[in-house]
Amino acid sequence: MTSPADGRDLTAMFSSALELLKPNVNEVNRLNVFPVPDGDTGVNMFLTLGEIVAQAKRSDSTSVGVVARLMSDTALRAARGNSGVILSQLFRGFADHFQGMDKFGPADLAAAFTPAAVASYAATGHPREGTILTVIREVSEQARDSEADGFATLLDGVCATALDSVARSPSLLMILREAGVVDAGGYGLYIILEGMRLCASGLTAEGREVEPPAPLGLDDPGNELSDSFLESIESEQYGYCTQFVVEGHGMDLAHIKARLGEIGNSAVVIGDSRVVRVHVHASDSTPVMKYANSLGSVEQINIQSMDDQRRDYSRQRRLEQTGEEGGEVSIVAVVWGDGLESVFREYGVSQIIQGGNTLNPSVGQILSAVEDAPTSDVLILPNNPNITISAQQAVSLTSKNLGVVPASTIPEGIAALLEFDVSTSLENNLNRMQGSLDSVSTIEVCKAVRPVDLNGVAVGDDQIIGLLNRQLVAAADTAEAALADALAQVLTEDSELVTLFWGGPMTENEAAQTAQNLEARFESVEFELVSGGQPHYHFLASVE
Amino acid sequence: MAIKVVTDSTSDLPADVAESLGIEVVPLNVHFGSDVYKDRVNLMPDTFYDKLINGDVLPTTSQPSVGEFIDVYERLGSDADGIVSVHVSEKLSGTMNSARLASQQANADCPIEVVDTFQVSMGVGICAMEAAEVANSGGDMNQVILAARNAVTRSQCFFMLETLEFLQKGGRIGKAQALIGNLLKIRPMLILQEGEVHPLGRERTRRKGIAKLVDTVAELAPISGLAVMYSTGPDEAQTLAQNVSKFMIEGREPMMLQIGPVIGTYAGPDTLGIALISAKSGG
Repeated sequence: MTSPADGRDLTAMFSSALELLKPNVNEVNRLNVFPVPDGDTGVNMFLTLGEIVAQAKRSDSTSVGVVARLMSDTALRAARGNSGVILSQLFRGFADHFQGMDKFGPADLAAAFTPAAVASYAATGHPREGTILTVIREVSEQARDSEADGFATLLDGVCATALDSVARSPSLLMILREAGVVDAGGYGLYIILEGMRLCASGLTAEGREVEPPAPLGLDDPGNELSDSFLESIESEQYGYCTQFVVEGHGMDLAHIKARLGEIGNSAVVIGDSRVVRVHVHASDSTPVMKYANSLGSVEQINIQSMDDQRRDYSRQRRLEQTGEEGGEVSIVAVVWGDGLESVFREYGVSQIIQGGNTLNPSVGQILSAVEDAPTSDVLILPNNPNITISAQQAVSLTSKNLGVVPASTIPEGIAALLEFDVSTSLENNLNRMQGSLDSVSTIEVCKAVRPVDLNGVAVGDDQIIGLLNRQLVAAADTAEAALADALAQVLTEDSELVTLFWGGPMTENEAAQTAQNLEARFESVEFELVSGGQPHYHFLASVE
Repeated sequence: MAIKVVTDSTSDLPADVAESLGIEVVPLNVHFGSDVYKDRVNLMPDTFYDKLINGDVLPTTSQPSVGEFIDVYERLGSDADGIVSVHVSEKLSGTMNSARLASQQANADCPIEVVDTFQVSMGVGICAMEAAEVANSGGDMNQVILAARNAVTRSQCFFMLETLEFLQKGGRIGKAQALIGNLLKIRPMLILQEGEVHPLGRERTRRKGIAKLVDTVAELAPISGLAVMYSTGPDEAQTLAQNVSKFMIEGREPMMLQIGPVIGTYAGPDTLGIALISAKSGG
């Protein structure tokens, strides 16, 4: 396309965009993430653009100012759905920029994206990033800075930016990350820009297919709606999606948007003081329509139950996809003692197997706890080296996806558990949790079963011993002395916190007294006393 | 005539920075019982934390009134081509609502655009700074609006709290609910996502918490602007600033600032945080 171009060239560009959108409508629809404001994004954009192009082709004006204004006026009335309404703001911005112009060059087209972006944001009271809005804004920034001297080169840059922006949409919008797809509206806009680019480059758009970009930064870049996402939306209530056009006098868009924002949500309001198009979600459409009638004469009313839409949506998406497992993970832990059990449950463990140093559960017990866990992805915290071996045997025996976090003590198990993030995958959790095992040291204090001389420590009859990271390091006549001796060997100037889980033969008072004495002796560290309730062991201590 | 940038006091923007960039800061209110103070106008951070720690009444906060925003918009509007008003996440404060209503009602003789940053504290401030820089270099209304919105997508804000108590009592805990536990001492790590408070992790010790803040900065590098924020511990913040400066693009240095009374009401003493803005990429 040569510069300067006129109104017919603008029509040709959007006609090409329509041609390209046509074979790709279903692909856009497929990416829809519920709650979609209504129907399907691809269909809505296609119908909106179709009406605009049809009207523009009927015009006998060659002036770009006249054609762009005609497109904008048509868009206001033809817009369908949230994406169609925001798309129509692109035409509004173009019309404002081309006002009074007969012909336009690449620099004019580049500059026209700026008012288009501002107008798009203005359509919605609560603009969200990671949507078609971000794509049009980033396109406008790229175009503004572009030094392209031809339409084709300008649109080459614009399309590259749009494609990149669509691929990054999940990084800005959580619902897209959860669903595992890129934004449908943004992708639709990219196709339209690509259609314009083909026209400007003298290429035909007819029959081409345009793949959506793979979402950046997701575990599974498959652009398939995840099963757990579908499950999560099936339990929600959405109410009614209400759309209409009002004709009146002196209407105040900002005021209407604010009022509708109080009655419902997702309000999108565009137009001018004479014609206003509204799109809003509310649990009941009656107050919305009552308000609409107070504004002027209402037409093109469309009220749809979003709960019906949701049912259709999930049914159809389920049909399209093979049933994959949900992404949730549950945790099994081997623990002995009421207090410790409470700690493990508080931080997310669903199944507890009673066991520990002197009581190793069988592989069968581990298997049955894994089978009882509520999800098919399961992690296990054995909290003991022998039990870790049994847990590893269970991996090959269960039909579930089982990961073993090789925690060899209770404090290591707790450190790992604090890294657990229910919203991420088993593999991610396994990595994070394993990585935290060496962030703590463990001291175990208990009565010696027999006299021994080991690691240079002589243990006498009935003495209390201290183990540091499962190695004998101290022997004394009292639990406090053994603990203090072990602490003195492990504490450094970087140590900050010692957590004492007391149990075995200790009473609460004795434990509190011990903590107080140790606090006085090791002044630079914080001591935390927690009831563990474990048998045999006076203290299990974590040092970090 | 030019474009003016307005923000609110939750931005924790240091007064000298606001002044040098010409950013107008509208204060929120802090209430201790029946006593009402204007954030950083007649209640300074040090006095506030002293009352928070040693007083027997927990503070609450309230948004600026619509009238206060109208006054500011009309005063600035008489001498401006447009006003871009950049604010704390609407999901956490009614400030956006006051600003939006004021933008509709003010007789300001110029267009007013209200922008939700989806952030708190210097996460808001850093967006206001980016907008002001474009305004001060002669940007028109559309350019300043888009600069603010561009900054919104590049900004991040995350914190290590000593306790969730203040956030919980203030009713702003949101998704960080998941971090609540009573049995062990936990330093909750929080991040703002899409305008809400989300868990970033939980650490047992401050050293590990600070390491987590540094790791999070590293993941977001390269960084063009960064502020280390503290409520009561400037020394720790100083060290943190030294540890993260290497992730910034050449020639940039971290800012350091104290979290003010409004955000302090929810974050509490011994809070450390980072607000940053990633360097612009090709996209």
